[in-house]
Amino acid sequence: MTGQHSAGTPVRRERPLSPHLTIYKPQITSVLSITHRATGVFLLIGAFVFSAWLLAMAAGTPICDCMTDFFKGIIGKGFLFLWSAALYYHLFNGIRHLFWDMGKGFELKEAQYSGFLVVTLAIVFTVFTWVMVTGGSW
Amino acid sequence: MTGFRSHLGRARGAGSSGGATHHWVMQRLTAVSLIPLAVWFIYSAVALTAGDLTRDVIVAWFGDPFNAIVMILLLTAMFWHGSLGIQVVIEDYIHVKRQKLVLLIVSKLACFGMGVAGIFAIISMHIKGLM
Repeated sequence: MTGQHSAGTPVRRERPLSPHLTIYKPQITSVLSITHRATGVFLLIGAFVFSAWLLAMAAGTPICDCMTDFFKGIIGKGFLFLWSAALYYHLFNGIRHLFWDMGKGFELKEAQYSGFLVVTLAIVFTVFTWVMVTGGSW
Repeated sequence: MTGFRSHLGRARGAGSSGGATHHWVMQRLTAVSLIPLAVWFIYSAVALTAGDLTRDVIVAWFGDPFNAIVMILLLTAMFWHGSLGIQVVIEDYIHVKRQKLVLLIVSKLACFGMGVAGIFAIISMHIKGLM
C-alpha cells in the first residue's frame, strides 16, 4: 500500500491484508457462487452467438450454412450442450438467489441443501433435454 | 455529510451513484422475466429439433407473431440481464480505472448492439415468414 505525505512524496505503509481466496478450503456454497458468475458470462457469450445466428438465418448468406454445419458437428454440439447445462444451472441457481432475496434459505444447512438440489436438477434437466433432442431426426 | 437529511430522503436520493437500487431491482426484474422465457426457449428449441432444422423452417417459425414477439422479449430481457451481470463482474475484477471504464462502455454497447441486431433479424424473418 502506498500513501502520500502532505508534501507529495510517496511512502510505503504496511497495512494488514485479509486472507486471500486461496487460503480458504473450497465449499459447496462458495464453489456454486463462482459457478453462477462463470455460467452467467458463458451464457452472455452464447447470447452473442445466438444473435449472430439469428442474423445469419435472416440474411441467408453462406454464413448461415456455415453456422448450421458447425452446430451440427461434434464441437458445435458440444458447445450447445455446455450452453444448455449452463442455462439450467444459472436458471435454478438464479431461483435460489431470488429466495435469498426474499430472506429465505440463509441457514448454512439450507444453503448447502439448496445448492445440492440446484446441481442435481441442472444435471437431470440437461440430460433429459438432450435425450429429447437426440430422440428426433436432428 | 449526512446530518441534514432524513432517512427517507437519503434512500430516495440514491447516494453517490444517483441510481441506488435501480441496478439491483432491474437485475431481479429481468431475472424473474427470464424464468418463463427460458422455459419457453428450451421447449421451442427442442420442439424445432424434432424436424429438419433448415433455414426455411426457422424463417417460417418466426412467421408466427407469438414466436417473434416472445423471442424479442427474450432477447431484450436476456441482453439487459447480461449487461447488468457483466457490469458487476468488470467492476469486481478490473482494478485499473481506465481499463474498467473502457470495458464497461464496450460491454454496454456490445449488449445493446447485439440485442438490437437480433431483434432486427427476428422482425426481418417474421416478414419473410409471412410471405
